[in-house]
Amino acid sequence: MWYLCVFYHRLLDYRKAEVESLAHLFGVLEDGSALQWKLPQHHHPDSPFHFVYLPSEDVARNIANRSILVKGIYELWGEGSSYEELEEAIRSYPDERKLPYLAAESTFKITVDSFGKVISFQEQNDRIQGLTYIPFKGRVNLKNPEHKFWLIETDDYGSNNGLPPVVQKRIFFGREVGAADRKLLPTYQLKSRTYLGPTAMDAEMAFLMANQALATAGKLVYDPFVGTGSILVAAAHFGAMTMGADIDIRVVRDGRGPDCNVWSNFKQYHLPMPISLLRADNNLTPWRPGLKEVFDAIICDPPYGVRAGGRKSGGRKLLKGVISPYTVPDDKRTDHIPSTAAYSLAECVHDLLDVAAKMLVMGGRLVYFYPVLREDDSTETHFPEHPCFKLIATCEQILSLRYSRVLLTMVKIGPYTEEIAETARLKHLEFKENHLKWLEEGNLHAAVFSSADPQLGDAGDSKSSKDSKPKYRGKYV
Amino acid sequence: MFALRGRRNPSLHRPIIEDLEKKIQKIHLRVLFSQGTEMRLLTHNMLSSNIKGVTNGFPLRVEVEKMVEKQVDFNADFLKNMFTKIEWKALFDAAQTMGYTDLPAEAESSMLDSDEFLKKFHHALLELHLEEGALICPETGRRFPVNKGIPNMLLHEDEV
Repeated sequence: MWYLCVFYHRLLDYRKAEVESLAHLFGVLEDGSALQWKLPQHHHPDSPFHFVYLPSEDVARNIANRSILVKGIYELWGEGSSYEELEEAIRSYPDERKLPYLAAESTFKITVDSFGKVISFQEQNDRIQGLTYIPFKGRVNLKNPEHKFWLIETDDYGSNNGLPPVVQKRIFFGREVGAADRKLLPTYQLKSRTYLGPTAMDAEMAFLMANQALATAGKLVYDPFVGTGSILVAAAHFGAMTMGADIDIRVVRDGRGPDCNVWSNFKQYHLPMPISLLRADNNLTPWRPGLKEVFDAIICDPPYGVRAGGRKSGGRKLLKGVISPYTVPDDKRTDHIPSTAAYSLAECVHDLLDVAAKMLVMGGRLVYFYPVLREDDSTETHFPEHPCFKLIATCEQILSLRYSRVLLTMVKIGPYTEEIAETARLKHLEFKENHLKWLEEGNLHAAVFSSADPQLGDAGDSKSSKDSKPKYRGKYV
Repeated sequence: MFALRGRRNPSLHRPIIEDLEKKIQKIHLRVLFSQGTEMRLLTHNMLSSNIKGVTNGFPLRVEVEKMVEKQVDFNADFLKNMFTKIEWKALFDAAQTMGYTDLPAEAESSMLDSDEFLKKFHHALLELHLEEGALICPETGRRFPVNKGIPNMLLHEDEV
């Protein structure tokens, strides 16, 4: 059946991807097909209004309730471009679909909502009064109604909300089937989190990542750059078992004291503790040779060298070639603190894909952020590829004028073969030998933070091309 | 020494002593609240020594300085799923080292139907926690310290 799916008008790229992932989680699309979507007439793809085909109301409810960005999924009783048209549509909607929700012993509530315009309280009341042709027999209960009805209006709102204008007025009336529990967000918001690092993942984004990864009870989720655990907290909220590693031992082991560390972040929300936290290097993983296909999902925000740089083992000066190989004297081995070298993004992502290809179960998901420079106006972005993986979603979030990050969702579709392992081993050596070259090539920091002055020369062209572009800020919301 | 100084001018040094007392209290608190889950045998079963040139880095020998037992929610599906990934001999030996001897020396998937077996498996895999100690490379004897329950698997520069 077709349902009206209304989204929150934010993180536009993430919204349909989230519903698709959740549909998968709740057993739809098991044959690998895609969800069917439809747009209302004249609506821009970034409009919050969509129609989605779902097999049952239970599935629709599960998806909506677990989601973060679905304002509501509704059984549409009628729509029109005027109230007369709406009335006609609702009247002709079959009675057997309507009457069960209008029964005398039930309770209900009608909410008037709008997109792109404000409707005063008086107008809202008038509109509800105008619905008397629907035979409501139940009692009104504003706090805890059994049935929630929504009257949603959208009108020509000019370009105020960043979307291309919709010329035609549209009114929807439907019964709510489910809606996102946004109360999660104030509960988990970072400002009340005990232990924070400079790159702790925003709670809303962490939940979206956990949804993309299909985190759920009985599944094992791994984050190789765990930091303060902000992504695993979201996965644990959805019932997954969690496991994390980080190369910085101060973060995973010590935190800021006994009541302010990764463990305490889980305790704060009464979540089960991670199964394991360890200090390990993503470049040289300590997993035993025969171990494979243990994790159901790997979710992470790799260090891409803008706000935090990655480190790997091997010695800072050693890999640069400044000093020749040395041995740590025996008497100093016990408390020796190994020097770590910078870890380029290209190598980091290569290692991540290799580890994920080996350690994920078939059908398991790798969900991670990948930074993209926005300066070169090339429309084709090349995302990392791997023979074991299929890229199923790319969701962009613009971070500054210079760069954005894209949440990539990849599904493991092929086994990790000897051949793939060998290719990865050779690439690993290549990275090690050309350490400096790779560091320079993948240096995002310079591109993101370089001062504008040296670019003035070519800024002339890019500026004029920017002005000529339509003022569409969709992805900024 | 503080006492002596304090006698001469008690008011001046009281803050120092109070400070010290607070610090001592904090240390006590740290011991009491050293919460979190320490290294479990599931983790041990997944790790090996990855020092360059080492071919038999698994299983790591467990050296126990301090261990705790903690109750963890039982999830049969998770256990059944994990069973196929576990190296039983390594789990059996590590559990023995941690002082848990109820595990059978050998196990096969048909035993997963028995609740009693699952409970033992659950206890060994998830409820025995190493808080302080080390994991030792079977080939080179290199100690990977386990401190506050976190195994430190990072290699020295000359081991990479």
